[in-house]
Amino acid sequence: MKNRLPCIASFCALISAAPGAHTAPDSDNDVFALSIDELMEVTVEARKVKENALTIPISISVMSEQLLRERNLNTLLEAAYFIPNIDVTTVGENSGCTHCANITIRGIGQVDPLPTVDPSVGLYLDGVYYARSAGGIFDLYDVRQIEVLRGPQGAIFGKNTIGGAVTIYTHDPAPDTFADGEVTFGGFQRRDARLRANVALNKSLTSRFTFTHLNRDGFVKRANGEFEGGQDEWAATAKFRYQISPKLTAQLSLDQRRINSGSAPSILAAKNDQADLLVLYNDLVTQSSISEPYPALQIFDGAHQSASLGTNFNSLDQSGAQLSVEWQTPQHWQLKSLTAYREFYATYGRDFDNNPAVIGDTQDFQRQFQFSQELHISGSTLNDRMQWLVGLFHFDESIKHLTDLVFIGGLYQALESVPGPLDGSPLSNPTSIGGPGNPFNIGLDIDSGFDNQVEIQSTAIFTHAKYALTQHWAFHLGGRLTFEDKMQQVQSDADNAGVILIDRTYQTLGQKHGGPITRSWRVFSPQGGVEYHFDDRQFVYLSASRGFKSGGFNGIPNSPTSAQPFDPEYLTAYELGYKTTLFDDTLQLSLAAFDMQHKAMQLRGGQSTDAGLEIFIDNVGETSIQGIEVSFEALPAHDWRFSGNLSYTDAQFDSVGTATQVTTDSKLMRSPLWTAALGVRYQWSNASLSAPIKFGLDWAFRSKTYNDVFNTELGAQGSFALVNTRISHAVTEQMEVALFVRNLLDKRILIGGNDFTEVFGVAEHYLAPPREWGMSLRYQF
Amino acid sequence: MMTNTKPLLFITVMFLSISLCSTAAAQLQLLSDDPLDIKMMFSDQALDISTDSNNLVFDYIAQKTPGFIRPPLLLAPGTRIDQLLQSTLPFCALNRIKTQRRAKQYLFSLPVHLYPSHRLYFLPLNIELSPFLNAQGQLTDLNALLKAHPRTTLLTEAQRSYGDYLDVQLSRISKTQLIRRPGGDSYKATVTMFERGRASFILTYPTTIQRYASQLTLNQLHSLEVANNPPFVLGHIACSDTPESRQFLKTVNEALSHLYQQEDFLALHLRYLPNAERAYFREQIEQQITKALAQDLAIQNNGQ
Repeated sequence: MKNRLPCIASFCALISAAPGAHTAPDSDNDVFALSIDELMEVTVEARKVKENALTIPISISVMSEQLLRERNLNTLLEAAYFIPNIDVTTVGENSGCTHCANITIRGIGQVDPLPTVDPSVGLYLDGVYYARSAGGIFDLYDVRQIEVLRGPQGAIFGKNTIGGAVTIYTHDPAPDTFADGEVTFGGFQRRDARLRANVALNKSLTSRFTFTHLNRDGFVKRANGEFEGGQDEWAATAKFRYQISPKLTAQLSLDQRRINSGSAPSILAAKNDQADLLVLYNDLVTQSSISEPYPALQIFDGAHQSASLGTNFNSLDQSGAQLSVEWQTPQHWQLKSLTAYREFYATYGRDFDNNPAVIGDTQDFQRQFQFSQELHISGSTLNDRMQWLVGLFHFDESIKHLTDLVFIGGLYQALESVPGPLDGSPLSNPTSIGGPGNPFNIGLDIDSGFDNQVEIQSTAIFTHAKYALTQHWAFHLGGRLTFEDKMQQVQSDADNAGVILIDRTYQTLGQKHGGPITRSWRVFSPQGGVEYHFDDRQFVYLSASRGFKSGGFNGIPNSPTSAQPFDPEYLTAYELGYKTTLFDDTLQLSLAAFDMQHKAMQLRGGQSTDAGLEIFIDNVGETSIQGIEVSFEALPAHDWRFSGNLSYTDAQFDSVGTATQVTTDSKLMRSPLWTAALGVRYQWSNASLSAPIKFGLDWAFRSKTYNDVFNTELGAQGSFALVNTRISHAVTEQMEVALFVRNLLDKRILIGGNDFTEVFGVAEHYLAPPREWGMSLRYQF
Repeated sequence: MMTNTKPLLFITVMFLSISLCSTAAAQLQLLSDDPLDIKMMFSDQALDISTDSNNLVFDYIAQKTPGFIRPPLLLAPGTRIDQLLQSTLPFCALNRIKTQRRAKQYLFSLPVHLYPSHRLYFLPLNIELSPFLNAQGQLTDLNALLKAHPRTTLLTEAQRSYGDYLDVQLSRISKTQLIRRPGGDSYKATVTMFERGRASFILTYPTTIQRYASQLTLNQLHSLEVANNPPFVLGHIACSDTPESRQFLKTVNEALSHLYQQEDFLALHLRYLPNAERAYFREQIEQQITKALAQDLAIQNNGQ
């Protein structure tokens, strides 16, 4: 597969495309045809209709295919460094996933990719909701545009968009026949192949096919020779667009993607051989001689070395289908139906201690089925002074998720093997752990499985309208009413003790603490605002919106009390913005200031009961978040282009209620105070060259970021600057060669981190790749 | 324009192919997805049918072929092995089952060993099994058993073939009841997961469960033979199709043709099987060897 598949696919794609191919595709797909000035016109679909980005009252960042390529950004994870006030990680706090999209915007994000808790930022692919984080990081090949909308987007996009929404649009089939491809070689044995073909089958039926195969070695080397951080992935898409009549179009899209790689690259960042549980275990096994004590943990000076021998996998097997029908009614209204189905099986497992010892090992197995149907109609009335949108949305989701956790493997047996309780109390009436049959031992059997099955149905009706009162004044108003039903079946157990901790399944229906857990909500998300247009080049807006993140369930309950559902959390945002174009359209400037109040935040809390401390999720947090975002694009001279952005976010907890993991002094995780980026592009022309040589240099900055909810310093990422560079040249009309270096300064950048040195003796760092170079060869057939 | 396009297209395809397909010098490398193989192969210690039979073959070749240099043995996950065996580099993998699909994709040696086949293992379950068993006590329909008990799950190893029959059976099982675990340590890890109650059933080899499960588990364990599934499977050395690996397989097959006649070969199989079943397996092994030799001869004749 590794070698033959891309070879065969490339050959087939090229042969099938070649007979009708010509070399004048539409400019959308022509790398070299776009003039640098044309890039200033940006059309977005942030409100489900096509609008100029500079005329909508939303803080939005847009990255076109051209910009992604010029910056050599292949995934949302890589792109996020250059977008203001967004943070993307694949690993959450400590999952080890390589394909999960955990997105935080303006400090609002998701702690862990557990599917019993919903995300705070919505991810949409071609208008279809991507409900879970697994599979959310993918290669952005054939992507037309990424739009990052900051702030709650509940009225238009619906639930789980309180932080914002990331919408990714791929190219539709074009009415031409052409093909292009790209091969990339680089550090860590990188060998990527990307191919696409657009085939006009007849005047009304067009099709488009893409194939990608990505392969590279990892950069963290394990003691057994395995690597972490590598990539072995392929994906294919096929789209068919049928122009049934001049006003009626149907498009069918099919996609398939497979990943088979190692765990997210992690290393042991710090160790403590005297950690509480390590000392306890070592004392117990020394006393009873049932096993060997833990050897001293191995930690390396080398930045990319791990002594790990344990679990090391990530896989994804994903399929999707989408049918889109668009019809322009006789009244010139636009009716759009979007039907989508997606299923995937995702696994990720990692060795928590990065050592041969079984101090921690986690595995997740997740299967998902998602179906969505959206219907919306948009139009304008009153001589185009009023633009409106009305829609219906239904979403059906089924999740099966097994979480398998092993911490301090063998601790329970060690406790059972000593003669009596460690505090000397009688075994018949123990007041401490230790001794055979002591019920307190079960609390330290941290060797648990959590088998979740979650069913979700969500239905919503939404509307949005913009009315131009005068030439200068306009206002907009919208709202969405969502009805949601959720059900969780969960079974969890302590393995070594052989105790079923929770059984909330149909099998226990009617029993005390038995049967599935169900919850329903009805939530209204309003949005409104006013705009003042000074002229057609600048306007100011003030908007208010309220969104909600759906309620959910504790995916890792260890007692009946902890297996309780929690309600939605709400975010109200006020935004004052200004957008303008200056100096003969050579400078675009956007500013936004925001104030957000986050209520009923879902935080982990605890309650002391007879069974000890029981951890559950409750709606107890309140935060206030204020900040500003500034971005610009400038063309100071014909061959120069500058772009940049800056964001400042001051987020603080106002109240944490009974939450146990945070205090009012805590910082929101993955929310840097400052983000900034600056990009410079220059194209050098010479009479002896058929095309200019293009240079690009991009710099991104993030201030200190806490990677875990506990705000541990060991797990935190200090402020850093990332520098990427790329040089490209179209050596012929059809072929472009590009050389690039990512992380030019070879900074140590974390995508996640944690610190459990006190309890488990280990602190982990999940790493972004070090400096890496590459060369791309792109050919247009 | 097309006249200019085609040579460049050809060059690009060639460049793509060469670059993707050439990463190392053409030295044959052996692969295994079992960490124990890495530890125990080429040692004198008896371990199990597969390791002992592989050792017997390589020892024989080393004795009979002066100058033979044993290829290095590397650990690789099953999915990676599948990819490497389809590459244009000389890779060979130990302990591979020959399926119809695989036989089209890469080369196989004569059988290196005969292995008791997969069985369905489970710890005590409150499930009535008799509706799913035939007169011989074999499980007649794996899918029906799981369908009748929708909360139960079956644990398997991701992307590993269980043979033609079981692969079809597994494809019919509801996806929500199937847990497929990837990773290079999947033999041990799946047994450990099963022991810890992560799944109701596990489909694995008797020798695997014997090797990795604790005595406590083995004492409580139940198992079922799957009806229509061959009672044992043949383990081969599988190779990518390159001149180096063809030469290597020729050497292996010559060794096996001799070893089949020797008592050592039978003994290493019977050593790990219950006394009561040894006569049956001796007969089965002899039949399978005759069959495999006849098939190999037919392939050679067709090739000529």
